[in-house]
Amino acid sequence: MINLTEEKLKSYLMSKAMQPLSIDESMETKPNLSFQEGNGYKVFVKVPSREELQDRNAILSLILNSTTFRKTADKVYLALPKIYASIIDGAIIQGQGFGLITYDEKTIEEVIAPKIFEHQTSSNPQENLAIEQLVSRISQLEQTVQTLKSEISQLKSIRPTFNDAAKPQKIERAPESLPSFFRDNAWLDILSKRGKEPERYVS
Amino acid sequence: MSAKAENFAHTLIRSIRLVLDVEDVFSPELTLEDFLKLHGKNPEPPKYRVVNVEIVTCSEDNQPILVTECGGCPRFIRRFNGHISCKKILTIE
Repeated sequence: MINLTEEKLKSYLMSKAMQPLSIDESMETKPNLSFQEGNGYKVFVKVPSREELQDRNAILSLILNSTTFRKTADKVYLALPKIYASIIDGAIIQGQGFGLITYDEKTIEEVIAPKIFEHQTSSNPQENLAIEQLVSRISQLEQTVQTLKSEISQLKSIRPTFNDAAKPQKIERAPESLPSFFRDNAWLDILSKRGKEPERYVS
Repeated sequence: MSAKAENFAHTLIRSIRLVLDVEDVFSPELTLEDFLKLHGKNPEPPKYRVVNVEIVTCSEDNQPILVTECGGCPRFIRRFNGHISCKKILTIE
């Protein structure tokens, strides 16, 4: 009975441009059907047996067990008989990101579309290498910034404080460089102050 | 001239808790609220048993039916967020 259902589901999903895949035997919880979509998404379908569909809790445990498929598959469907689909609320299935396919003797229908599970690890090794290089460069830059910060703080702590005594003094010309008629000339002082004083108008 | 179009109906599920007296078959089945009003106490086992009955009004004939009966209907789509979604045939005249 279950094999007949699986065959029907297989032909239904193949009609939706899915290619059947072999199931990895090393998996702890195995799906009943595995497919690959045209865009490369891996699709798992779990078809519970009659024994697994004893009561409401059994369906819930089936949903929880199927969460392990999210690690390997991009989309996960649960296939339930229509009568069981009326017992369990589809919002629980959708909340877990699963899709729901209902079936009876005559029809098979996708009633809840699955979400796409994004996997953290990239399958492309070149992308992984580039990400690792970027991470190492960022960490180097962080170290450099930290070193520069500590150096700046050290320099700030040893910076001399400027006061009036430390101001550069005016360099006076050596008297030897002046001509002889400038030496000890009182007019030099008077003439040097010209133009700096405010003008006085004599009325 | 008439035409038929397909639409979807979303019917709210009504959940009723019924108290059954398993020792007296002639005792009337009451809702849990009515039982509490009438007896002023909780229905304790083994005499009483509380069952939950989920019913909807069929969108085709407006008759009350069990939710599990919807599963056998060809128009049934899914149960979602406390509602039954099913196909509904609209006849336009």
